[in-house]
Amino acid sequence: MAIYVNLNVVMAKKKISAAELAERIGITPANLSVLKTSRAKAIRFSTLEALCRELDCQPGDILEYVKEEGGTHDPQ
Amino acid sequence: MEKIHRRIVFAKWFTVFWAVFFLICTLLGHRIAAAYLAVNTAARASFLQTMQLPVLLVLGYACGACVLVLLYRLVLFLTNMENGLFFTDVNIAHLRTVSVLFMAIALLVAGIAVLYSLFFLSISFAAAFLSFIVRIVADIFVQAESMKDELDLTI
Repeated sequence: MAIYVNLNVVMAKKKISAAELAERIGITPANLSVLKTSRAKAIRFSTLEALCRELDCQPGDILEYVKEEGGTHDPQ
Repeated sequence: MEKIHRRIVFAKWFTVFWAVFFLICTLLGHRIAAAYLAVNTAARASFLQTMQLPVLLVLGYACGACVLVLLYRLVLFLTNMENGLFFTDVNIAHLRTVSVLFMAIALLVAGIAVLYSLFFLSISFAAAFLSFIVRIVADIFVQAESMKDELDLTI
Protein backbone atom coordinates (compact mmCIF):
# COMPACT_ATOMS: atom_id res chain seq x y z
CA MET A 1 0.00 0.00 0.00
CA ALA A 2 1.46 3.40 -0.98
CA ILE A 3 -0.31 5.29 1.82
CA TYR A 4 1.53 5.18 5.13
CA VAL A 5 -0.07 6.06 8.46
CA ASN A 6 2.37 7.98 10.68
CA LEU A 7 0.32 7.66 13.85
CA ASN A 8 3.25 6.51 15.97
CA VAL A 9 5.13 9.75 15.28
CA VAL A 10 2.17 12.02 16.06
CA MET A 11 1.23 9.99 19.15
CA ALA A 12 4.79 10.25 20.46
CA LYS A 13 4.76 14.03 19.94
CA LYS A 14 1.46 14.35 21.81
CA LYS A 15 2.59 11.81 24.44
CA ILE A 16 -0.59 9.74 24.23
CA SER A 17 -0.77 5.95 24.52
CA ALA A 18 -2.47 3.65 22.03
CA ALA A 19 -5.03 2.43 24.56
CA GLU A 20 -5.98 5.98 25.56
CA LEU A 21 -6.22 7.18 21.95
CA ALA A 22 -8.34 4.17 20.96
CA GLU A 23 -10.75 4.85 23.82
CA ARG A 24 -10.99 8.55 22.96
CA ILE A 25 -11.79 8.02 19.29
CA GLY A 26 -14.11 5.05 19.89
CA ILE A 27 -12.29 2.20 18.16
CA THR A 28 -10.77 -0.96 19.60
CA PRO A 29 -7.02 -1.12 20.37
CA ALA A 30 -6.78 -3.93 17.82
CA ASN A 31 -8.22 -1.71 15.08
CA LEU A 32 -5.89 1.13 16.09
CA SER A 33 -2.98 -1.27 15.76
CA VAL A 34 -4.21 -2.26 12.29
CA LEU A 35 -4.28 1.45 11.40
CA LYS A 36 -0.83 2.20 12.85
CA THR A 37 0.81 -0.65 10.97
CA SER A 38 -0.73 0.46 7.64
CA ARG A 39 -2.65 -2.80 7.30
CA ALA A 40 -6.01 -1.05 7.04
CA LYS A 41 -7.68 -1.11 3.62
CA ALA A 42 -9.66 2.09 4.21
CA ILE A 43 -10.37 4.69 6.86
CA ARG A 44 -13.70 6.40 7.50
CA PHE A 45 -13.79 10.20 7.49
CA SER A 46 -15.38 10.07 10.94
CA THR A 47 -12.37 8.12 12.27
CA LEU A 48 -9.93 10.50 10.57
CA GLU A 49 -11.81 13.46 12.02
CA ALA A 50 -11.67 11.94 15.52
CA LEU A 51 -7.92 11.29 15.16
CA CYS A 52 -7.21 14.87 14.05
CA ARG A 53 -9.37 16.22 16.88
CA GLU A 54 -7.66 14.16 19.60
CA LEU A 55 -4.14 14.61 18.22
CA ASP A 56 -4.68 18.27 17.27
CA CYS A 57 -3.22 17.79 13.80
CA GLN A 58 -4.07 17.76 10.10
CA PRO A 59 -4.84 14.64 8.01
CA GLY A 60 -1.59 15.25 6.13
CA ASP A 61 0.33 14.86 9.40
CA ILE A 62 -1.07 11.34 9.80
CA LEU A 63 -1.24 10.14 6.18
CA GLU A 64 1.74 10.07 3.82
CA TYR A 65 1.82 9.03 0.18
CA VAL A 66 4.99 7.27 -1.02
CA LYS A 67 5.55 6.42 -4.68
CA GLU A 68 5.84 2.65 -5.12
CA GLU A 69 8.81 2.57 -7.53
CA GLY A 70 11.96 2.89 -5.41
CA GLY A 71 10.38 5.46 -3.12
CA THR A 72 11.73 5.73 0.38
CA HIS A 73 9.49 6.04 3.39
CA ASP A 74 10.98 8.61 5.74
CA PRO A 75 9.02 8.72 8.97
CA GLN A 76 10.89 11.93 9.92
CA MET B 1 -32.61 -12.09 9.39
CA GLU B 2 -34.90 -14.38 11.41
CA LYS B 3 -36.52 -15.66 8.19
CA ILE B 4 -33.11 -16.40 6.67
CA HIS B 5 -32.06 -18.26 9.82
CA ARG B 6 -35.22 -20.35 9.77
CA ARG B 7 -34.69 -21.22 6.10
CA ILE B 8 -31.12 -22.27 6.81
CA VAL B 9 -32.21 -24.47 9.73
CA PHE B 10 -34.99 -26.03 7.62
CA ALA B 11 -32.58 -26.68 4.73
CA LYS B 12 -30.06 -28.23 7.13
CA TRP B 13 -32.55 -30.70 8.66
CA PHE B 14 -34.03 -31.44 5.22
CA THR B 15 -30.51 -32.32 4.05
CA VAL B 16 -29.93 -34.48 7.15
CA PHE B 17 -33.19 -36.34 6.40
CA TRP B 18 -32.07 -37.04 2.82
CA ALA B 19 -28.62 -38.08 4.03
CA VAL B 20 -30.17 -40.68 6.37
CA PHE B 21 -32.50 -41.85 3.58
CA PHE B 22 -29.60 -42.24 1.13
CA LEU B 23 -27.52 -44.03 3.75
CA ILE B 24 -30.31 -46.57 4.22
CA CYS B 25 -30.68 -46.95 0.44
CA THR B 26 -26.94 -47.44 0.04
CA LEU B 27 -26.79 -50.05 2.77
CA LEU B 28 -29.80 -51.88 1.33
CA GLY B 29 -28.84 -51.23 -2.31
CA HIS B 30 -28.05 -54.82 -3.14
CA ARG B 31 -31.33 -56.07 -1.64
CA ILE B 32 -33.31 -53.41 -3.52
CA ALA B 33 -31.65 -54.44 -6.80
CA ALA B 34 -32.24 -58.15 -6.04
CA ALA B 35 -35.90 -57.50 -5.16
CA TYR B 36 -36.37 -55.58 -8.43
CA LEU B 37 -34.74 -58.33 -10.45
CA ALA B 38 -36.80 -61.03 -8.68
CA VAL B 39 -39.98 -59.28 -9.80
CA ASN B 40 -38.79 -58.34 -13.27
CA THR B 41 -37.61 -61.70 -14.65
CA ALA B 42 -36.93 -60.37 -18.15
CA ALA B 43 -34.55 -57.77 -16.77
CA ARG B 44 -32.89 -60.46 -14.61
CA ALA B 45 -32.20 -62.66 -17.58
CA SER B 46 -30.80 -59.72 -19.52
CA PHE B 47 -28.57 -58.68 -16.62
CA LEU B 48 -27.18 -62.14 -16.11
CA GLN B 49 -26.49 -62.57 -19.80
CA THR B 50 -24.57 -59.35 -20.21
CA MET B 51 -23.05 -59.28 -16.67
CA GLN B 52 -24.28 -55.73 -16.31
CA LEU B 53 -25.40 -56.25 -12.72
CA PRO B 54 -21.95 -56.17 -11.04
CA VAL B 55 -20.95 -53.09 -13.04
CA LEU B 56 -24.26 -51.42 -12.28
CA LEU B 57 -23.89 -52.23 -8.58
CA VAL B 58 -20.37 -50.74 -8.51
CA LEU B 59 -21.54 -47.60 -10.29
CA GLY B 60 -24.60 -47.40 -8.05
CA TYR B 61 -22.61 -47.75 -4.83
CA ALA B 62 -20.01 -45.24 -6.07
CA CYS B 63 -22.87 -42.83 -6.78
CA GLY B 64 -24.31 -43.50 -3.34
CA ALA B 65 -20.96 -42.80 -1.68
CA CYS B 66 -20.64 -39.52 -3.62
CA VAL B 67 -24.16 -38.51 -2.62
CA LEU B 68 -23.51 -39.27 1.06
CA VAL B 69 -20.28 -37.22 1.11
CA LEU B 70 -22.04 -34.42 -0.78
CA LEU B 71 -24.93 -34.34 1.70
CA TYR B 72 -22.47 -34.46 4.64
CA ARG B 73 -20.56 -31.44 3.26
CA LEU B 74 -23.86 -29.64 2.71
CA VAL B 75 -24.87 -30.27 6.34
CA LEU B 76 -21.50 -28.87 7.51
CA PHE B 77 -21.96 -25.85 5.21
CA LEU B 78 -25.48 -25.18 6.51
CA THR B 79 -24.34 -25.65 10.13
CA ASN B 80 -21.68 -22.96 9.61
CA MET B 81 -24.32 -20.63 8.17
CA GLU B 82 -26.65 -21.41 11.08
CA ASN B 83 -23.83 -20.29 13.43
CA GLY B 84 -23.44 -17.00 11.53
CA LEU B 85 -20.30 -17.95 9.58
CA PHE B 86 -21.16 -17.13 5.98
CA PHE B 87 -18.24 -16.01 3.84
CA THR B 88 -15.33 -18.09 5.11
CA ASP B 89 -12.63 -20.25 3.52
CA VAL B 90 -14.20 -23.38 5.02
CA ASN B 91 -17.59 -22.70 3.40
CA ILE B 92 -15.93 -22.03 0.05
CA ALA B 93 -14.10 -25.37 0.34
CA HIS B 94 -17.41 -27.11 1.11
CA LEU B 95 -19.04 -25.60 -1.97
CA ARG B 96 -16.12 -26.52 -4.24
CA THR B 97 -16.23 -30.11 -2.97
CA VAL B 98 -20.00 -30.27 -3.55
CA SER B 99 -19.45 -29.03 -7.10
CA VAL B 100 -16.82 -31.70 -7.79
CA LEU B 101 -19.06 -34.41 -6.31
CA PHE B 102 -21.99 -33.33 -8.48
CA MET B 103 -19.76 -33.70 -11.55
CA ALA B 104 -18.61 -37.14 -10.34
CA ILE B 105 -22.26 -38.18 -9.89
CA ALA B 106 -23.04 -36.87 -13.39
CA LEU B 107 -20.29 -39.05 -14.88
CA LEU B 108 -21.30 -42.14 -12.88
CA VAL B 109 -24.97 -41.78 -13.78
CA ALA B 110 -23.96 -41.30 -17.43
CA GLY B 111 -22.25 -44.69 -17.15
CA ILE B 112 -25.45 -46.18 -15.72
CA ALA B 113 -27.40 -44.58 -18.57
CA VAL B 114 -25.16 -46.26 -21.16
CA LEU B 115 -25.53 -49.66 -19.48
CA TYR B 116 -29.17 -49.61 -18.44
CA SER B 117 -31.44 -46.91 -19.73
CA LEU B 118 -30.85 -43.63 -21.59
CA PHE B 119 -33.47 -42.08 -19.29
CA PHE B 120 -30.70 -41.70 -16.69
CA LEU B 121 -28.93 -39.24 -19.03
CA SER B 122 -31.44 -36.61 -17.92
CA ILE B 123 -30.32 -37.13 -14.30
CA SER B 124 -26.71 -36.96 -15.46
CA PHE B 125 -27.30 -33.64 -17.24
CA ALA B 126 -29.12 -32.26 -14.20
CA ALA B 127 -26.21 -33.22 -11.93
CA ALA B 128 -23.69 -31.65 -14.34
CA PHE B 129 -25.77 -28.47 -14.47
CA LEU B 130 -25.94 -28.36 -10.66
CA SER B 131 -22.16 -28.80 -10.56
CA PHE B 132 -21.71 -25.63 -12.64
CA ILE B 133 -24.26 -23.68 -10.62
CA VAL B 134 -22.66 -24.62 -7.28
CA ARG B 135 -19.22 -23.73 -8.67
CA ILE B 136 -20.51 -20.28 -9.64
CA VAL B 137 -21.98 -19.87 -6.14
CA ALA B 138 -18.57 -20.81 -4.69
CA ASP B 139 -16.91 -18.13 -6.85
CA ILE B 140 -19.48 -15.60 -5.63
CA PHE B 141 -18.63 -16.58 -2.04
CA VAL B 142 -14.94 -15.92 -2.85
CA GLN B 143 -15.84 -12.38 -4.00
CA ALA B 144 -18.04 -11.86 -0.94
CA GLU B 145 -15.23 -13.01 1.36
CA SER B 146 -12.87 -10.53 -0.27
CA MET B 147 -15.42 -7.72 0.18
CA LYS B 148 -16.00 -8.73 3.82
CA ASP B 149 -12.23 -8.68 4.50
CA GLU B 150 -12.03 -5.20 2.99
CA LEU B 151 -14.92 -4.06 5.19
CA ASP B 152 -13.38 -5.64 8.29
CA LEU B 153 -10.17 -3.71 7.58
CA THR B 154 -12.00 -0.39 7.17
CA ILE B 155 -11.26 1.46 10.41
